[in-house]
Amino acid sequence: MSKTTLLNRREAVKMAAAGALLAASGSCIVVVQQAFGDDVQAEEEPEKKGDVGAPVAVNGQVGFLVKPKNCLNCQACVEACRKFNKIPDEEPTWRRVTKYERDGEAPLFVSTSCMHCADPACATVCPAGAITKGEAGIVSVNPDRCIGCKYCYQACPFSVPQYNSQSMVKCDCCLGNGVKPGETPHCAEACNFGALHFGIVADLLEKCPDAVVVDASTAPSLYLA
Amino acid sequence: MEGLQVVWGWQPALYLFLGGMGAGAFVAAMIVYFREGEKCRGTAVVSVLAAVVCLVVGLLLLLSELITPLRGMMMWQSFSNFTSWMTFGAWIVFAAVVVFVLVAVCMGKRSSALVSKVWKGFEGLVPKLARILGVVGVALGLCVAAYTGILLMSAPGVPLWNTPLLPCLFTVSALDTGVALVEVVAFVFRKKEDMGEGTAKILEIAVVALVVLELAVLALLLTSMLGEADTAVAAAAAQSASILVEGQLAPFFWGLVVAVGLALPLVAAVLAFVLKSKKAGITSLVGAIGAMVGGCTLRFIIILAGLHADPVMGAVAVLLG
Repeated sequence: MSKTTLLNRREAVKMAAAGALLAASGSCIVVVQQAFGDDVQAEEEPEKKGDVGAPVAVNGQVGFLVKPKNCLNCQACVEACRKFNKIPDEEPTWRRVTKYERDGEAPLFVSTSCMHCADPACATVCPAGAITKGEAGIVSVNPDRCIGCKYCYQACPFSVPQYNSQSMVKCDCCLGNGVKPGETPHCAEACNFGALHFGIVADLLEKCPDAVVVDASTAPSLYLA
Repeated sequence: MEGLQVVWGWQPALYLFLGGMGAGAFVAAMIVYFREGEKCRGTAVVSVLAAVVCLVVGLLLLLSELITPLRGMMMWQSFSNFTSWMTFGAWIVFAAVVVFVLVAVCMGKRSSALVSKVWKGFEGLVPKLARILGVVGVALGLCVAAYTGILLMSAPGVPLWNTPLLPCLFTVSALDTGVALVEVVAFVFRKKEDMGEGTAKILEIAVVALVVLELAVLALLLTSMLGEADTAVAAAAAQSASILVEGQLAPFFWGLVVAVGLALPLVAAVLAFVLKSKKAGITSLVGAIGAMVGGCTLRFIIILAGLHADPVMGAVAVLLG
């Protein structure tokens, strides 16, 4: 992905943010509602409160905010993950959509990948030191150092690490395909329904203070709203 | 195999069994050697060599499970992150193999004679050296035995493993299977070397104590996990424990681990203790083989039942109120 595209995307986000103000004042357009409709919804439904997630990581930790009620399981995020990370068809993608059944109601879909935990157990247990927490708190693996012992899979509370014939593979927020640390990865970019958001955790929580933090010993950077 | 943990297959399971048994066998062999001395030299040396074979085969199994075994063999690079228990474990097992081999060299008649030819002062040093290395080896053996459980305990993704009771269970089982291995070796040497009644009794008492302890730890581990669960982690722990005691692994758990691996050796040890005759040898052998079968099965079913929790489901439940 070229830098120009990224700048363009930023511009688009700025424009959309301006649009959100309009949306809040009740004069929204359909496109803006698609991008920010969930935020509006959160404002409209203040009674539905969960545990208020506190920012658990260092300043600048990036994370995902997932809004299951907006997710239609269209798989756009999953397909974007496959396309941009060049994951072969026979291998599973690094992002997946999990279906949660509900009694008497439509099922909920939750899109997840690596949670880029504040205290990643995978990095702690990796004997080779192949997994590191880098810029913007992104957890990534060095395939030239990984020995493929699969201890990271057992350590991860979310069963995230996968293995191909060379090493462990997982989401690196698209660093491997050229997205800069902190910039929106392709999966969140591909979501048309406001179900998958990416950003600095503190910013995400500021926008959506009622978000529920996913609870695990590793302090994952994943919130649900 | 559906619904079971299969990312780690049979190699790590067998490694955990062999590593534990080898470590336990070294400890038991040292008890025999330092109590009986020359009288049971053959039993002790062969037991130490069997311990070395167990650890080396275990390490080779672990290497074969890696995606890049060759890179894994570059230990200084591949086991360099000391926040990982696997790193500590790899080096401890490596050190244990070296020390066990040195002990075997000191204890073996031919090997010590061979070294004496090259190193003149070696012969005089042998008793002292064997004692020091023996003590170091016992310490390393206990570390290896505990490590096999700590490796699993330090994986927070698997609630069944993520408890300090698991290293307790594996350490006790390692010593139990280690004593069993020495009993098998002693049975083979029974015509040449007559183990003193005192030492034989110590081993039988050890078997009884270890079996009772293992039953207690196993019961504590499983009862602490079974039952109602209010979190995703507790639910996964309960599901794992349920697979073991009443699910698809239950026949192996009750049949091979509890009956063959614990009850049989317990009965055999008590019988051998009472019989005090030539029949005691064969009774101990049967008990020992049962303990090994049970110890091996235990590692396999604990690995297979190690399910992951789904913490996201807990968050979804909170979200829905």
